Amino acid sequence: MQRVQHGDEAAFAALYDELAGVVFGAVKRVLRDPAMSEEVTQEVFVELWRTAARFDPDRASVSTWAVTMARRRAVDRVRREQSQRDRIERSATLRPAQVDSPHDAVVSSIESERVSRALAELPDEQRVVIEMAFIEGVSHVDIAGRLDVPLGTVKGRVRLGLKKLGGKLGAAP
Amino acid sequence: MTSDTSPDRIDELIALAALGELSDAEQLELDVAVRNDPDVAADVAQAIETAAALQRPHAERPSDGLRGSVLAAISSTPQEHASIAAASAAADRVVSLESQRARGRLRPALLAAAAAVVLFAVGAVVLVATSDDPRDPIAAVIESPDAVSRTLAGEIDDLTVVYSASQQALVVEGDGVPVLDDTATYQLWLVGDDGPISVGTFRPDPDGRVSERFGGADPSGFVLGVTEEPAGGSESPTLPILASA
Repeated sequence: MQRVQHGDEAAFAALYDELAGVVFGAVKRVLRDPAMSEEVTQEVFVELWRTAARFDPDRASVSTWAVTMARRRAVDRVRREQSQRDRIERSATLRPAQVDSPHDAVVSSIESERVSRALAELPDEQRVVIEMAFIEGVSHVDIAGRLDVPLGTVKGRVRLGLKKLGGKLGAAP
Repeated sequence: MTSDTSPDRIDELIALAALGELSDAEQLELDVAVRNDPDVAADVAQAIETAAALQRPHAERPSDGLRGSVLAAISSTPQEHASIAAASAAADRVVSLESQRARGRLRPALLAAAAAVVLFAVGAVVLVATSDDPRDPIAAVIESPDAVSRTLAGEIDDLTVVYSASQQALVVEGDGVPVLDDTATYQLWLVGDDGPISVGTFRPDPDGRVSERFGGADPSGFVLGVTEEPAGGSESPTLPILASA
């Protein structure tokens, strides 16, 4: 990442290869639409490049930084361009993510199992909200609407759920 | 440096940060809380890390063509070091700039000109909104062809910030801004991932009008926030955020 911060495009290409899957996955869970997801993924990588100087390894891993930015960008896009009805219709046809390399498949499988175990230990009301937010990619406003609970309740459950999961899900590689 | 953010509010902001759904004002509020309390900083970092860990296993490869598009896009995109350095340098220069700042009148027509060149066609006569004093440093920013404006919203909702890259300056203009007594001042901040940077302080005139110019600080890519501070300004913002954009 230091090389990227100094404008090294080859280093950025390597960073893209490392992060493209997680960034695209995070965006597509929110947007559903593959073409729009690629568009937003490109915006995320251009922002990563443009603001690379702001990255502080003491605050988060590159992967965490990228995934957080990806979700934020995707949610912004939903707010701008998609109606709630469109998204519900798309979510009805959502299929499991496609992982196309053996290495990614193994890593994904191990991480997925770890996440599943950790989630299973949460109280149902927190687990449901956490899964909707971070696995299905639903915004907290939409979660409140679907569960018919106040926004504050959703935020409270997200906060408590993340706090409990914090000790079980380690830092990014 | 003070913060009256309650623990419940902090928890709410941390949840929104992990969700990537903070508004500009909420981001600023959380930035202040993080700077005031290292425990909050650690809690934010852990929540964001956990949220990322939940999403990471669901990686999905984009099409091969995206790689080429991204790499082509970044090769023509300048990186940000320069603007951050400029903003930091501006913050360092706040005191000396304030001592030299030029005062001016509120100019609604000039504000409009900042968003777009405004032409009033009356019959065959075309009037262009211009300053009556070409040496006016505030008009120089507002009338600059590259001027861009942002309107701040919040408790104070009549503030507009206009920035001109060619003038290397920004102007804060407003009307109906609550008048402060001598012990207080308003302070404008640029907030990025590295926290708030002071642009400078300003005070409305007795009629609530604001018209101030600050040199150097490029607000592109930053959240703008206004707080009320003790006279002379503060090193970091004091909540609440009165206006932001």
